[in-house]
Amino acid sequence: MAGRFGGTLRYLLAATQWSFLAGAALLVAGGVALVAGWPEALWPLHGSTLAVVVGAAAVAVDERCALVVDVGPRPLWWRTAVRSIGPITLVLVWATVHWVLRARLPDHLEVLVLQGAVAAGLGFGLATAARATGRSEPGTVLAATAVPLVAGAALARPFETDLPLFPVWPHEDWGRAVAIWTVLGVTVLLVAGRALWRDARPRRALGDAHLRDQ
Amino acid sequence: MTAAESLPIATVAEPARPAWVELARIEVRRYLGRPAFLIGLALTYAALLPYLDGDEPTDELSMIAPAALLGMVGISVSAHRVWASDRCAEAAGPTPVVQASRTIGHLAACLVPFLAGLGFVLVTLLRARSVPTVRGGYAEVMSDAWVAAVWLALGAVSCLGGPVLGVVVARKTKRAAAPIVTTVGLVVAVIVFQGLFEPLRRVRVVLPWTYWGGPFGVDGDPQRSVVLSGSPGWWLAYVLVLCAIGAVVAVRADVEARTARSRSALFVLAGLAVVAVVLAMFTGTAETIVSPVPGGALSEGG
Repeated sequence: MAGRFGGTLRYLLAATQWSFLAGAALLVAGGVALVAGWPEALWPLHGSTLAVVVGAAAVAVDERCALVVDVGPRPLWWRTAVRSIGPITLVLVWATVHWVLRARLPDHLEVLVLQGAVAAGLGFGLATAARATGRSEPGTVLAATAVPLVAGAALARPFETDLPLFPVWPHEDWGRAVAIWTVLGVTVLLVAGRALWRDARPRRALGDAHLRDQ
Repeated sequence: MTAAESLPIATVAEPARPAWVELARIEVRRYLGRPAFLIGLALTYAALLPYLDGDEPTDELSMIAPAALLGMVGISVSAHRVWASDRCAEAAGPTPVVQASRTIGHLAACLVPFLAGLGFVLVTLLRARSVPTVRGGYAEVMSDAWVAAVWLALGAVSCLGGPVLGVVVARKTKRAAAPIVTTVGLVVAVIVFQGLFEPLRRVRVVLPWTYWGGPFGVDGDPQRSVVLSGSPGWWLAYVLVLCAIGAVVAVRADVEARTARSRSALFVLAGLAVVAVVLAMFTGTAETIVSPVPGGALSEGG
């Protein structure tokens, strides 16, 4: 049991880009603190901070040693589960900063926390789906596309009346925002889950064959 | 007849066009195919859909759409294009095409988002001639030339400046996070210098993508539209000079391109930028103008 835990911990320590994660957490905490300091003026920065969460969560999937690791005994779903500690930490930072500074932020803490959780899920889930197709470092590519697009969309806020992805003001439809982010979250869960399931199938078949050989 | 005379002399035909022209064609095509650009383009032009309703006022604040979704996105798109072509060049080994030529090719590709942004601005300008902007907004208060300068600078030149900045970033560093950090840093800087903080209103024009008016509010009317001080005409010239400076800096990243001529060009452009930004600060509208019409719905500046 200790050996299994030790192996998990070793993989987590080796696979997570801790300095990158710490930098992203610092950016997230700093960004939200700035928004809380001057909410009316700096609110557009909130979307950019959310974009950082998407990007950092996506990069957490990147596997520099994919050629070696992919043929190793640890399946992708196991490695993905261990790697998810990084994005989960980021979501915890996001939620904690929002909770601490909630008095100066819009009175919809649950929506703001949900945004962070789904943003991390989007980055991590989509990169995982791409990782399951054999790409070793899809997170960096995804982050390069997603971060400016999310930040740009949060600034420009297209279709904000009908699709309030980044609500700001009290009169906006925060309930619909919850529905949109929930749908996004569930969708990306399904996409990532399907990718991991498909990746695990040949491994099970291989394992069966191996057992039969014995 | 000597052996040397008998041998046919192999001659290499001079290329009909400089290498950068061919590279520019390739890079333009590649830029057009980038998913981030295509998504940004679709979202930008989708901002024009409300105009299908003939009664919908032309949105004077809509320039943020091309600036953010084409210009800001262009930082990452350009940087990754430069790195991708560098990887190809490294894989190909020694080639007669120098880095400066490749950089010029990438800079030429920056015209793609610029033209897309320019199209957006022209559509908005044409629409504003038939369907006016919201009553009491800055576009109603100021002259057509003033409004055109603001919209061109924000909606079109921003779409050139972002990608050019991306080329500069890629030429200065190979760190994958650099375009993302640049994007977030630029957002922070632009928000601080957008004109909402009164002490920074005069100096805000040193930054690209700053605002020139909008419902910034006054005491007793938080949604009242105001026009910020300065000359958008000179600011348009300033941001264009900034783009030129970025282009020269990117080309000069190649040691072979660091000629006395390019250095002189850089100094001249820097001088022009200083003159233009000082004129943008101290000419034109002397003080903040408050719209005579009371504020309406909540929205952002532009």
